[in-house]
Amino acid sequence: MIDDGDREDLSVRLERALLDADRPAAAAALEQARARDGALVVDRVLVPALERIGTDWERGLLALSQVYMAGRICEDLADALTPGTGRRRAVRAGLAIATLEDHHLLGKRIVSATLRAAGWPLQDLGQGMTARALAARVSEGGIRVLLVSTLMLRAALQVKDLVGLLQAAPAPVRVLVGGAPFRIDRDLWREVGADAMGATAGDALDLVEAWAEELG
Amino acid sequence: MSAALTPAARVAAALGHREGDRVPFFLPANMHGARLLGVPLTAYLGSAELVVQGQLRLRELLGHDAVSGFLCAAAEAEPFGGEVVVHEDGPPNTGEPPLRSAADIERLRPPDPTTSPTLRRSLEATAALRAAVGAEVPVLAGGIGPFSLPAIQVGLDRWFELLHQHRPLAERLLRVNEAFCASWANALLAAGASAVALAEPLASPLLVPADRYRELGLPALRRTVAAVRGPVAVSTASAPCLPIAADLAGAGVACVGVSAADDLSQSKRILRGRAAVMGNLNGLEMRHWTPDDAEQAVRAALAAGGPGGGFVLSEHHGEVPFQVPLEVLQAVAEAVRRWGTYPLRWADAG
Ligand code: B12
Repeated sequence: MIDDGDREDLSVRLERALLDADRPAAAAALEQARARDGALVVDRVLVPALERIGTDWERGLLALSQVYMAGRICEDLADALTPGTGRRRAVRAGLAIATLEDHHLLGKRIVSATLRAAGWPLQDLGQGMTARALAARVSEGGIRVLLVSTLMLRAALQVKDLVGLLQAAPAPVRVLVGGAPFRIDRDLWREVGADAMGATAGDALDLVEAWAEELG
Repeated sequence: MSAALTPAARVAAALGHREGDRVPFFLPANMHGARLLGVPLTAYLGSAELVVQGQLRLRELLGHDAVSGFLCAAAEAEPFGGEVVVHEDGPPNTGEPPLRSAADIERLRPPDPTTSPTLRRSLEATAALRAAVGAEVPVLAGGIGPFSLPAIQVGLDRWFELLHQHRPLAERLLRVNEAFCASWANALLAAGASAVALAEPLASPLLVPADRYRELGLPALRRTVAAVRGPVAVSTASAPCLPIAADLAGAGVACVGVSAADDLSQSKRILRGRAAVMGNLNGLEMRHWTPDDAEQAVRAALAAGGPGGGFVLSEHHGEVPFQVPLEVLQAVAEAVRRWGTYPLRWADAG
């Protein structure tokens, strides 16, 4: 077993490599962690690194291009890690993400990469979707936790229609929203009737974890 | 009290770091003209003539210090093969990014801006506005900066990958964009614009690390500004600006637009004597403002930015959301008239 101090060191080394977009160095740090303690590598090394990166972005210490590169690299590396890393998480309630209205996918890509790297099975329902089309996909797919990313205000306001339409879904659906309009107007998520809003992909990790536990 | 200046003289005083008769202000309500004229938004933005009428009506209503022929940022995707997707309840957006491969970038040449119907319409509106207001009122024009244009050419994800991992290709695209951006700005100036405001949000450390921007983006901005035959303002379009504000001023721009997240007094201190400061009301929050909120926000901005000149009060993104009620814009205008007259003794007093 490795002790907590070693794990922290490896997690910090991984974080540095990710911020430099240095894939080989990131792979080496993760490999070392996996060799020493396979089952905990995702939870104790990879996820904390990504969470620190998200938080530092929110605090203005990092740029989004670094967050994006880190997420992408981790997503690839986590795929390679899977055998032996133990915990593939399960949400009995289906988990999905979509971009409402527009074709600017970066928010969705960052959040998806982070959740997938952390082992969450996440369905991608697409982009450029209308509230109606998205509500239909959610109901058909038995989705219980829906992540919605938006960039434009008009798209963010359509979450209200989406939430209304989801009232008719076979089972209750929790809606987590995010994206620039929600970050700049901090009350907007309440106004549109979402269940929560996340300012970073790290927030998505925390909320999904909590909700999955509650929903069983 | 000194005689009232014309809007052009008031703005010139601010850009010259002097106190004119009052703090100049401009609310970039690019879509509200549709509301004033009672026409659907897509019809409005689809007609240079309606935009001109709308801009003139808006100036009558607010008494702000400029008019603008800007239609939408998405228009700049058109000369590169992208499409503009219009909506009735908000600004046009771009469709899928038109440049999909490295080869697309390698063979790219700066396109002629006038091949785009939407950009042509913006030129037409600019010329007609100049004819309507004469020399007394500044006619503003807008464009996307060379370092931000890739967001709609290749997509922001791909642009980040180029910046971090394929630098020669990123530099190639920047060279094309500088040339395009300068030719578009010069076309706007030739049509009668007084100044061109470039939206360069990717210069913000929120989006790209400052050292990388300084290495790649800033030289591109400097070369663009040098090739433009008129005054240029640059703004980070509501993303934080302060850490790179001095660098932007060093690129030769007349005015730097800062965001609501930036401290205005500090922005003034950093830029004093080098570039005027423009900003920094939060347009997304305006949807909920009461007249009292508007007055408080304006007073705070005037107190921090106004003293000594070198300040233009504006919204921080460069576009007020369509959903913001006209009454809020009127309350902002009213507050500037009430509190913005120089000298700002009330602000000096504390
Ligand atoms: C860069 C930028 C531009 C660039 C590139 C935009 C692009 N991507 O295509 C340019 C200059 C081209 C541009 C143009 C326009 N823009 Co712009 N732009 C921005 C800016 C500065 C950053 C947006 C961005 O892409 N960020 C990258 C994404 C990934 O960040 P993000 O959405 O915040 O996502 C992060 C988190 O929020 C979170 N997240 C995202 N989704 C989700 C989902 C969940 C579930 C969770 C938990 C978290 C989460 O994770 C991400 C990483 O941490 C913002 C203002 C700002 N300060 O953020 C305005 C902004 C998005 N733009 C805006 C507008 C209006 C426009 C234009 C329509 C302007 C115009 N009149 O033409 C055009 C549209 C052009 C187009 N795309 O078609 C508005 C949108 C709101 C509104 N008023 O409607 C904003 C918010 C500015 C503002 N203050 O009003 N823009």
